[in-house]
Amino acid sequence: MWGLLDSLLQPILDLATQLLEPLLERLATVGLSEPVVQFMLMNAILGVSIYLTLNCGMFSLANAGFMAIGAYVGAILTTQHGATLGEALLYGMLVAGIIAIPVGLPVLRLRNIYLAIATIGFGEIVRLIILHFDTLAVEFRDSKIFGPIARPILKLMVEDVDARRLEITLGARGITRIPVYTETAHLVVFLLVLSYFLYRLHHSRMGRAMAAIRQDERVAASQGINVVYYKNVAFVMGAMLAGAAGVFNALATRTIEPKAYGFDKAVDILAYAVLGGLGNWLGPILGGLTLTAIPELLRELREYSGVVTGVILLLIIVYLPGGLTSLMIPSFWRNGGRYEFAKRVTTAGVVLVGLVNVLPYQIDNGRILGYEFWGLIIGNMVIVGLLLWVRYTRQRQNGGHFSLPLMGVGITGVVLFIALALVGKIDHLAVGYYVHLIGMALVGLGGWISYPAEER
Amino acid sequence: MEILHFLGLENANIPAQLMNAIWLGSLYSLFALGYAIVFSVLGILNLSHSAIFMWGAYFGLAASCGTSVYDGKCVELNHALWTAIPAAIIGGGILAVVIDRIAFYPLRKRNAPRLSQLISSIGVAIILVNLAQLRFTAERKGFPIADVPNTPINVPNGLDIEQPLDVARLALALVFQESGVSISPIQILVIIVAILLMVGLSYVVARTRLGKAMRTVAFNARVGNLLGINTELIYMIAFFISGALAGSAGILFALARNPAVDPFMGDSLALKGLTVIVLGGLGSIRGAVVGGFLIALIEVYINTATKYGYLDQAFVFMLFFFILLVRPQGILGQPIEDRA
Amino acid sequence: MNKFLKVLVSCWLIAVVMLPLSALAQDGGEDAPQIGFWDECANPENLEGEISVGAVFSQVGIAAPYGATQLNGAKLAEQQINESGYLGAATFVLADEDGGSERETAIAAMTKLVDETGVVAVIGPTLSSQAFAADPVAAEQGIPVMGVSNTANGITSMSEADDVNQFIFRNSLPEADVIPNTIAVSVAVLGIQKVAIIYGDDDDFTYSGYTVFVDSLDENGVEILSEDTFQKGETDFSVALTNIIAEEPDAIVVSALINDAVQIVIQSRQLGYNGPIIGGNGFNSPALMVDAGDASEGVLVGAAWNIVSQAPLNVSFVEAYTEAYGAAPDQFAAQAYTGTWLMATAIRCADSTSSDLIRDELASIEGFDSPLGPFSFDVDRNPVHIPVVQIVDGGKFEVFTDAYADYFAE
Repeated sequence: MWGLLDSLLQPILDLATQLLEPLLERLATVGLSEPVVQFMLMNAILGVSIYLTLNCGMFSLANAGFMAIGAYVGAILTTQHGATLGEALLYGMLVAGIIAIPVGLPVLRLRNIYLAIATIGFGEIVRLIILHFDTLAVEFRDSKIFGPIARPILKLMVEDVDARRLEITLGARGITRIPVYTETAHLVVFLLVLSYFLYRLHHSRMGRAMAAIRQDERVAASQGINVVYYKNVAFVMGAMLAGAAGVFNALATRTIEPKAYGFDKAVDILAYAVLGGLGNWLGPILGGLTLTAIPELLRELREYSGVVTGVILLLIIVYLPGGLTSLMIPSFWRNGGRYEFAKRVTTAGVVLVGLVNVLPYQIDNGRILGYEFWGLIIGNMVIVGLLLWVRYTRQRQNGGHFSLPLMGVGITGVVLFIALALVGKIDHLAVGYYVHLIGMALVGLGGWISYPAEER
Repeated sequence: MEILHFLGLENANIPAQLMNAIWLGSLYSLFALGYAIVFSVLGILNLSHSAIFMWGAYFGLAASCGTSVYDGKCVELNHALWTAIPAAIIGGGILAVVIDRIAFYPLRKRNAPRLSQLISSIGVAIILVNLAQLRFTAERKGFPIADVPNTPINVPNGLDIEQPLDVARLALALVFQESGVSISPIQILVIIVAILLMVGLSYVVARTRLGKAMRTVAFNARVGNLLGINTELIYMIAFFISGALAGSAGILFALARNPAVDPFMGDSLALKGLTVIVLGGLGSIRGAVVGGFLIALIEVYINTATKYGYLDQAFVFMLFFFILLVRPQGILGQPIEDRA
Repeated sequence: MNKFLKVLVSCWLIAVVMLPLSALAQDGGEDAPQIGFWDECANPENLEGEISVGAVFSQVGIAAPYGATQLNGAKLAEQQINESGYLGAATFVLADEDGGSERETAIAAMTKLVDETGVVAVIGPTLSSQAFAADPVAAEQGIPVMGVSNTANGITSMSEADDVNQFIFRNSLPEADVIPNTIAVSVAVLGIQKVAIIYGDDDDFTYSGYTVFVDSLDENGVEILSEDTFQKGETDFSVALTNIIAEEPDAIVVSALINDAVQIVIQSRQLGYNGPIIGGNGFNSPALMVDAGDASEGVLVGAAWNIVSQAPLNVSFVEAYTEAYGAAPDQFAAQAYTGTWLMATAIRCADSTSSDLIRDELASIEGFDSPLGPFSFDVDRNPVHIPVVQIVDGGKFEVFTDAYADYFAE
């Protein structure tokens, strides 16, 4: 059967490889080399895996744990049994899915924060068990009660079950010498198939049931939807996807260790979904791609990538709850009339300017973003003063619009920073300078749009 | 003796380990109290609590060492050591209030789901840890060792037994030395401060007008509003207290385990604090205290009496997992409706 | 629109909190360095322009403290190489890319250096797990890569294909070379019979160190009373140490990185233990004496590098480093510094930017005088030089000899 599947898939993969080649070359020129593209795609899969549970109203942080399970199954199969990528993928997803069933049944009775906390606990338990697997395996093998059950299972993982020390997960050292089977084409095809599946799911009975559960569980139950069943299905599907991402990850990095799949990874996965937006299935894919690419695109600013990630996460959750994809939906811009539109334009401007300020202004003597310290301080002082003034005038006018003040801030910001660049306090060739100008221009534009038409 | 054998404790230094459990328990409780207050009043799980803990330690370090800690180690104190403690408490409190205004207030106002607040608290935690790394580098820092009184109390040579204070010290030292307990003045300070804060906080919550207002808001913010309570002020106070507790835990820990200040110092406590408040009961103040000491006792027991010391964290998490499944409200918590 | 203003104001507040980071001081190095194969290899004639050698060190994340001093050491070497005209008309350029603290980030950095920057060789990455993930990226394209801090087993034989392995080097003495010597010497001098072990079980460096400790203790017939573990981020070791001290061991054996090592040393002294504490490479940092103070007296450290060595090259390295960065170097800095000089030497001797020739010259380096002592690579491209056993005595490292036999008896 494998042979048949292989011969069916191989031409598709070859075609994908050929089609991808020019694209990858283009991406490499902007700093996204092929491995980076692979990690972007893996993280997109992870984003989808948590989207499936979130979409069903479950806030589960267990996916890093399932990713670890997939990664270790994939690594053991390829190093011990010479498995191929397809086999590793199949078994990795299966094992993650099978483990998800007994975990999901009790845990999914919990809701909201309780579910989140319980799944954090699950992730830590998985990490600790993998870390101590070899010692535990010896304990179980030698125990009278569990020995007969443990032996056949262990036989699958290691040749000599009776050795004094078992070396299966190798503790903190992790498994090394894992073959590299993951190719970009595999990931692209996997993601395309996944997208098609998600598209179909969205319009299926099951997809509608899951959306109903997210809206209100009790109402859904009263409509005759089997809540427990659909929740568990979503949980298991999410686990299998995370397992698949784990297999791809293990077969791309040559080595795996337990700490790569801890709480930090769980948070990262959550961030992919939140950034992209949970409105539809494109969001988590977009989020996974973007959030992995940003640190690479800003490689010169790597020190700040953590801060940038955090700020982006915060800005999105506070000011753009629909995630990045909501920007692509026309109704987001149109709804709520001109005032709302102006508000959004201003937000975009403020976010841009804010980002530049959170970003560094003095690496390598201040030439990457191109600010000299005093130039930035003076510029910022003026703008903070102006914003306070806007607030003050608004209060004085008691609810009146503040289009004019905002336009004033925008124009002053643009003029001031151009002036600072002319004086030489800011490098006019730097990226940050232009981001700042665009941001201030958007602030002013927001003011202009909200300006009542009759007065224009 | 038989019971000791049964418990696997016949070779253990029981007084010393009990003291360890008390000291660890005070630390865990102090840390978890702040978690619990915010959860009980606002229903928010503030995952940036461990970052406030870490920044509290940095605030204290910067207050008594001056700006030299920005680039290097603290070689000599600029101000007296005790200034570190109020700096950490006030700094932590203010930081928590700022976090509330930036990350939680807009969500609260929009009536966003509570999960959004959990995510934004994760965002804040990421920012704070990375800012600390940028500002202070990842190098571990601490106070100059000579200035921190963390040598254990023991029987000193050449004591003037005319002085009543010295007699007390001698008695204390003799008790400790005879029982094989080794504890430093700063550790005793941590235990005393932790107990004082816990008692004080229980008093405030149970007896004062402020406490009543907090409980009312926790029960239902709208009812609080109707009763003329300024809910936003209560939230601000709750965050300030929570941040102050985290900051004090941070600086006391930094002093007792000097040098211990680095951007990742809160990481291990973040998840441990979570287990503590789950065990004690989410949102229960007494629960946080009991949970803290209970977790410390369990860890000490597993490490001392069994050969599975390497699994102590796994045991704690399994217990945590189990408690969530069978009794999500924890040992001392009220039943909750969020259970399906 | 009130809240937008607030965001903007808070953004500015954050910006103002982050006062400018001072640029790295880059002066120092007045004495002409004597390090290098000045006579063994003729002055290069064919080299010109800029020759890029990549450096993948961790600047963010959990490994950042080590990556920072590594980069310092490598940059110091870069500066000295260029000032001394070691590569003739060519300029040695250290193309450093942050490797983060994860495998993925190291792969990305390595790929960028190899594919985009076009380096002739690479130094790094910081962590062993990163080396397993990223080294083949360069080696498979025939670009030599040298680990300067990777101590795990099998680094230089990580690939199934031996012609790939041929391009993977390291100059960091693995724990497997350092620890047996440490144990043998300390057992011989102090007559240790029973010990207790404490180690970090979630880190590959400390875990490898632990396994080597157990093996060499077995070989020397030393009884292991108990094994205790700790995990990353734990700062309280009092429970485990109380248990250990109750067993009255002759010595406490510790496999830990420097931050944990300092805490273990302080806390075991606080708990009243005054006997020897034996550690490996992780202990070899000036921070041990600075942070632990008097508690560090009597700590035995087996290591690849001896900071107090009076060898002229070591003295000049420590001086130049201290002058440039205002702090004494640690072992990570010394190994990165030596590694950079080794790479420059291979380029000089090859008199070519061909990675193949550089690899061959690197493999044949023998008796290279460095701060680590006379240095050679063995056939498996692992370092050959003599590890030292040091003891903290009087606030600084001293070489541990028979003279210390009665040190703990007092």
